[in-house]
Amino acid sequence: MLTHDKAKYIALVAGIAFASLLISQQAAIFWSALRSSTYGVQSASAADIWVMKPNVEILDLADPMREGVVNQVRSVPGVQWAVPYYQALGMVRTRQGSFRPVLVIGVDDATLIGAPAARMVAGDVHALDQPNAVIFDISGYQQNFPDLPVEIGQEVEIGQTRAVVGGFCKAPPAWGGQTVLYAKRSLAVQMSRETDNTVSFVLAKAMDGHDPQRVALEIERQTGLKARSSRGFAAEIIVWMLRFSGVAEFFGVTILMGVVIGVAVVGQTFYLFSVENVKQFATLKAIGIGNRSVLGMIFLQASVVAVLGFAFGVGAASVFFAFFGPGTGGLRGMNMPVAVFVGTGVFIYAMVVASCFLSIRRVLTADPAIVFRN
Amino acid sequence: MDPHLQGVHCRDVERSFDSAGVRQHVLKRLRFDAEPGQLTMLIGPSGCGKTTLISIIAGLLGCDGGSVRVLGQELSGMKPDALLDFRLHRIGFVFQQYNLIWGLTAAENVAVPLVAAGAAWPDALRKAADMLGRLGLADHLSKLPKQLSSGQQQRVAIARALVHDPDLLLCDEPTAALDARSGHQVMELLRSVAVRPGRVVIVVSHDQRVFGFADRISEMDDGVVVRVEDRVPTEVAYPSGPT
Repeated sequence: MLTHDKAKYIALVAGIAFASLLISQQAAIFWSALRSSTYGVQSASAADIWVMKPNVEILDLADPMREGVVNQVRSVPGVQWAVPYYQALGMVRTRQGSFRPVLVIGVDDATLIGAPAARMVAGDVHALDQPNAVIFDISGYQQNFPDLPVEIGQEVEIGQTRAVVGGFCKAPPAWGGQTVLYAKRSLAVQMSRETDNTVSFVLAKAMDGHDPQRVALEIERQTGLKARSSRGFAAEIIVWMLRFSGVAEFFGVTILMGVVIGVAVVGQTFYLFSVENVKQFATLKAIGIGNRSVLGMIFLQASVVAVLGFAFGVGAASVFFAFFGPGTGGLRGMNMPVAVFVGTGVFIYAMVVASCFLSIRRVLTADPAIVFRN
Repeated sequence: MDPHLQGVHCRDVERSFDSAGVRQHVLKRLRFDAEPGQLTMLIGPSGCGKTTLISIIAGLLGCDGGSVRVLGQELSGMKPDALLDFRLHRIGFVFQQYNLIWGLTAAENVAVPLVAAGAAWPDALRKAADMLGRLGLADHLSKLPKQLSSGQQQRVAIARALVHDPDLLLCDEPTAALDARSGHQVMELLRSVAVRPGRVVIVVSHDQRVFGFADRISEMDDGVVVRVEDRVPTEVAYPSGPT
């Protein structure tokens, strides 16, 4: 019945496709943005405890501490090892004249814990052992320094310190949009011209058999600092982003638009479809086909348009991310996780079923005797 | 007596409707009979209660009082599911506006009652094709209703009504939307294909040109049957066959 009415059929598929596109694309960007806010925690996967000043809430708003806190943490029972981690904003100047901000991440000189070993796309993380070596996020590098070839060995100046590109990795942009750059902490401190407070975080590892959360509590008790398990810190960062960054409201409104458009278009079209075909449904009921079978037909038709619309919409969103994700623009590194794909599918189907329910009453209450009225 | 050979027998049937706050007595202690193996034509002026009566006979509408015995079953005592099943297996319908499903082909439309009764689609389509072939539509199986003429659509509707070999065929003004020639052909088909021993055929019609196909004419007026005429059908045919 529905496929016969091409205008409504196309309107339904297009409406569902648009809603799917809007919801899945915005939800995926939202997800990616939240995930990138915890990127540093994910990168330093060797550590399972993060220690910071009590006033620190997220990675990007670190309040540096003195060097001595590292030993304080090391002395807490249950701590296997602890290393300093530093981050600061810096300015990169190229010979060609580019002048761009970067987020400099200083990893432990001795162990390189915190470096993006698993995400190198050119060179090796041990290139940081070379004098003045840095590792750039390749997308940010391409975007911010188009005048520089993507080659190991390129020289730049950061905070009046000469730096040599030792490799490239993949990393999402910092929350403020800056390109991420890795260096040994000693070099990073030198680049940011910091003198006293040279530790943004202390990364620690709980001894085997010790619960990182319990060890973190012990660190807090003994040092007066704030300590969190890696998982707990990542969760706190996401909660902070949702509460204070405005990202939830921004994306929430857009996703809500998708929902409203979807429900309005799909609901109204289904309703009109049912009203216009009430005599056909009545005919089926008169012939002897029960409400259950008629409803089954409606849900089957709804499912077909839902699947088609969802496929078109999510397909378009996937093409969007396939095109922009690997690029160097503001959407670099973003993709659609399986959870968003599945979540959008479940939501769209629920929306279509709910829309069906709006129109079902007309079908259920259709008097089969109307088939004899002209 | 074999209940399958029994006809339609209405006794003292009452039915009223509320319309704009006014109680309208549509059927008044109505008595009506239609016998198996005959084509009974129900005639009468608009508003006399013909549609209400066939709706009650079809089990689509309840009555306020009296007895409606259809094919040996007293309808007033049947539960909704039993009524559905009764209609699905034992009654065929032909409507004035054909009421075909627009998105289905002619063969698929005809197959609907069979599929609803549990037949597999291939079997149902095969039987539907046979029935359409008997009605002269073998070349139109894959056509959608909108690709067929009015007369052809009505023949598809007749095929749908007969494909499951019902014991009762209810036709509501089957020629009203057709020109004289097509209407006559449809009645010829009904007469030749639908009427068989054991099957009750009731045709509601205003069209005096088709009265000659009836074995019995029951005339209604103001909610009661006022005249019953048993007759020998006259053979009336146009020179050419179905188009």
